[in-house]
Amino acid sequence: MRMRRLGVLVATMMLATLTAGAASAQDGSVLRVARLADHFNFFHPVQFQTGNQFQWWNAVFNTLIKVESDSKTVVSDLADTWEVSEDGTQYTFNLNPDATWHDGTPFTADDVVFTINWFANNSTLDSTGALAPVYKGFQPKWGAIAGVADAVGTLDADGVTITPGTAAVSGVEKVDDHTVTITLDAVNAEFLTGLADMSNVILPAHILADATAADIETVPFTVGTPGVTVGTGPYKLTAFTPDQTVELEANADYFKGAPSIDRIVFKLFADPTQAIAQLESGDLDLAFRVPPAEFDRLAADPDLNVISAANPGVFRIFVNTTQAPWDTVENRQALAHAINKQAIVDSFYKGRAQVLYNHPGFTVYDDINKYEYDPAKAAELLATGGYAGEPFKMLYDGTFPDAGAIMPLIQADLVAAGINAELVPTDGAQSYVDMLKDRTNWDGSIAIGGSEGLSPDRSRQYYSTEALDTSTNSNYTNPQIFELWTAGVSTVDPAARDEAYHELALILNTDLPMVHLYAPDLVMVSSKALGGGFDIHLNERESFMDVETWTLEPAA
Amino acid sequence: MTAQPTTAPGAVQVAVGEHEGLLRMAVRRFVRHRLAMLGSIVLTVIILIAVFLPLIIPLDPIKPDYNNLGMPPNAVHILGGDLSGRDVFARVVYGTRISLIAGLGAVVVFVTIGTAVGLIAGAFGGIADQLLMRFTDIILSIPPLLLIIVFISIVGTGLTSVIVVIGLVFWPQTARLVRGQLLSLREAEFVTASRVIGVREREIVVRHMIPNIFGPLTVVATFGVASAILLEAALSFLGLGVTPPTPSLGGMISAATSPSVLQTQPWVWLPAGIVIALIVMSVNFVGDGLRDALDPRASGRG
Amino acid sequence: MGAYFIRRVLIAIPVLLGITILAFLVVSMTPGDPLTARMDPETLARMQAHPEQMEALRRQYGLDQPIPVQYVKWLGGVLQGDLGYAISTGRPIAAEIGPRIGPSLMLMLLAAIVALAFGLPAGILSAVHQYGKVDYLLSTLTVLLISTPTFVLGLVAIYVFGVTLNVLPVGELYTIGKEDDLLDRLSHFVLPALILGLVNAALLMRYTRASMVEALGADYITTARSKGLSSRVVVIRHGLRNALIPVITVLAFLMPELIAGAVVTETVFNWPGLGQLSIKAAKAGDPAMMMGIVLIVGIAVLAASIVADLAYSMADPRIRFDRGR
Repeated sequence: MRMRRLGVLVATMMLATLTAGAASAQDGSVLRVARLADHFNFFHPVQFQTGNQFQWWNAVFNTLIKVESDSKTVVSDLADTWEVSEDGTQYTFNLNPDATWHDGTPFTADDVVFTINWFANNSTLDSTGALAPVYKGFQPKWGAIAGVADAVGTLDADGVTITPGTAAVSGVEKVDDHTVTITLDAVNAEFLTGLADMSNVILPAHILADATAADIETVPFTVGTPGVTVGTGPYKLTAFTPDQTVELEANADYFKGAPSIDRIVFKLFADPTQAIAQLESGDLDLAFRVPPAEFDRLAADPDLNVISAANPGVFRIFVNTTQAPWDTVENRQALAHAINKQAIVDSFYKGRAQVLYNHPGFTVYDDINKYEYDPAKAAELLATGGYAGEPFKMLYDGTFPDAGAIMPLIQADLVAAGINAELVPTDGAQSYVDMLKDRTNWDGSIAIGGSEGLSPDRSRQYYSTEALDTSTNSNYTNPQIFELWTAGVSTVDPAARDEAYHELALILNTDLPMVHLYAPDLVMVSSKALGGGFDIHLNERESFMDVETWTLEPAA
Repeated sequence: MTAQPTTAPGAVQVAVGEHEGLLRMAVRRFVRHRLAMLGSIVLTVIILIAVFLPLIIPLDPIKPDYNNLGMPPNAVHILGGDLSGRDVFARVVYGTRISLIAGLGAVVVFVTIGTAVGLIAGAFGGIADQLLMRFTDIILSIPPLLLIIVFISIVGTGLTSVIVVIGLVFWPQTARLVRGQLLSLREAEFVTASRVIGVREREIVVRHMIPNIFGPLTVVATFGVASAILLEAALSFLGLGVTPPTPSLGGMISAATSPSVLQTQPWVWLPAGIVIALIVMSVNFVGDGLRDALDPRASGRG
Repeated sequence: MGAYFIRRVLIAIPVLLGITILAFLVVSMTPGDPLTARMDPETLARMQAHPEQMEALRRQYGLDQPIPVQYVKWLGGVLQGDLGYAISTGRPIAAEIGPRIGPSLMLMLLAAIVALAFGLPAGILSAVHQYGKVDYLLSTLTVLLISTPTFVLGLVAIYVFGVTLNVLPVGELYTIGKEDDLLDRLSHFVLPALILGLVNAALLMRYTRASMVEALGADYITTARSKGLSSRVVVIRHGLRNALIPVITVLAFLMPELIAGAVVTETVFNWPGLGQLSIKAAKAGDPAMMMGIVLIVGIAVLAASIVADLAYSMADPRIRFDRGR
């Protein structure tokens, strides 16, 4: 009878609920990690990323070199050793002969050459002749290689489709199966350390040979298909449920030695406070971005380790410099004077944050304007700037744990100085996308995170030569700053670099397209069972770079 | 919460002339209902506090204070500070105002719409009636919160949206009630008799219907206030209700999803939860009392 | 029986269509351009430089058609299992909704069982001891339960059982590493089902009580009592049977309450169900996702009312032969 069939259907669904996820259960140690939810596919070089995905990319893929937990000391990854030429423009990488892809195919120099050529062939040149890279968001270092501009593809008449280039990039050359040389256009002091960033992942030539910019977002490799999404790293992908879990399994053939932990499961949380509850009940082993309010309580928990370090990331406000009245510099400077940064650091973060007086990554030079908390000065500047009470709409990620509590404090400070501040909470990654889509819809946008504090060169990616380019966050452009940034990396002489950066810092400090507030400490909480080489990395995105050295004590 | 046990759409009570006596009896029945009296007192106190206290003592629910971040109750802030350093007591008082406004506002909306639709359906009958009734059926089939969420995703958040949207969800029941009353009124004998005598139908309807509909409508409206307040709280808790920094009792409770707040800072969220429960309980008791007083058949006492 | 069932299903189909039409109309009023909502900024910038490209894309998605035509297209897609694509993730909506139906359904069924298990006996007890101490106690308790917001109850429960006593898990379907453990999975159901169930138990109790009181006041009960039958026999055999009829109707009314309550419960307990998804869709302003959820929920509610009608007709034979309702 129909009822029985209905009953069977219902029973099947119930059974499915009760057994979902059981297929992947195994014996052995499982590291359970909390991760902020993402909206993207498993691997996505050509879409905006928030950097959250870099953690599992770290476990699955490799780059040529990587860095230690100080985010500065370079150590080997796919490249065992390397040499730099006299003039500093040519790098020779000697690749590890034991590295293989997870499907058994050996890793060779061909993969490196393929990766660089793919990047170049699928990028284009913009109207000024500068590289318009196929990667959005975090940029790989391949753009600095000689000959990239000749290998790029072309934009079709419809302005959307790219016809890939066919030329090979002249600056990269395979010497033999395990040696590759890369020649740069000019000296770049940050090239090597920059290679550690996961945007420089080496892609498998045998899997992606036919992919182009048009379909790269939808090929099985990108969406996360076990068996097809292969890397060379210590862990293989076994399952990927978007918005919920990422499951990895140890790669016994890893060229640096099999990892000790058998499985890793990343659980994606929309709300980090949920992760805290599970840490405390023992259902999770590791969580990042712990809200400062939880710090003391978790530190007192006998089963948990709370680790913190000064963070190179920042909390800042991008100001829409093309939107009146914020196109007037005095009004922007008023914003900086109006906010009581020290009070936020003292009372909200209980001292676990550093006030920023300057653009992060740059030395706090003596002639920098520190924009001390001074509401009276702010009011003066507003008068000079001709501010007439226009709203200052601030977009911010409402799901970020501290946002709901901190934003009213900032708003109150601005209002007290006479600025009509409005808060517009948005949902996660959407806020970033919204900000870029409608340039007139916001006056300020909050951004948290990043790793600019590691070096002055790292801020460059937040500015662009074209005022309304999608990678410009404040709609601000100034050709001089790019000259100075280039000057800063094109020599290894510390004094010359400092001179360039000093001038650059002054410009950014005076024009103030971004108001930097503070750098909250990086806080991680882990179960005491997690040990071995496990440690906090200054750049949170690199946290899993040495995951193969971690150990997990079996549950009691 | 709002639906009542299904009774036949009111056998029409006696004609208007005896109405003053009925009213007095109703009041007497209400006063006898102990819980309803208790509820009325509590509700009155709460309303008085919410309306008048801010006029007497200075209360600022919006101003954050760096020195008050998450602080426990103390001499200056009697319920302590929330996560942004705002005065919890002030936010509870103002949040109560918002809840009451939402409750009353929503009721006005749905009673108006419901009565209008019910009158049209009952008066015109035929196709209009059928269509309208199918329409109400459809709305009644959709879970209220889901419907509200759909509407909110269109019109956006904020107190006005919340009031309008809640009102849009509850009008079907009122419409059914009004229509039912109108229809049974038309069938009633004395109406036929009056018509024979020559009294105009519209006059009959107005003179008889209003007193008869008053009772059940008041009961529905009262329970509607309770539901509306709970819905506003739920929406604000989910982040789809009033826009911050406007204080809302439901919004204050959303801070408790953080384990720290839940375990170590109960003053941030518990007072708001208690106040909501008190208000809604009182309204429910009053509703029970009104139902006993005005519609004795429904409670089984008559 | 079969004929009645078929009739009920046939009546339900136009109602379902009506729900979807209404939802589609409402959802099509979402502000913003659905075409640009899906694009990343880079593509959008390039498109804006080529308006003819935008138009072509608009035609391709059928967004230039009038609303009724778009509705028909959507309906056609639904009948083939295609519910469109989610804006924020780009994945097929059917794939997003599918895995969430089971958890939501299970939660509601268990909550309904809890509601029945607590609500029915409480209502009967109250009715039998009308105006006595038990009645007042239970009545006050139920009013408290329906007056306290579900999320407050949930949070308090998490605090007491999950944190302080640490006996029950505080969220989600299962513990990683224990996917095979059935007991673990069942323990995850306890708190959310209990909370959702208790609130509806309170509602059920009120109706049962009223219904029982009315039934117990009927003439035939007095007759049975005067015949000398014991109180308990009277209550169970005669009172209950008749009181249960409106209660079944009320259960069907409770379905929308259960589904609505599930939204809040799922948020508090991080339950991977449809309720959580509907909040995501609302915050993301994703009309297609909303339509998908409304469709599934509409089907569930109508199915529940059909089941209730069938139960109703089984309990009261008169209904089966009564053409009108």
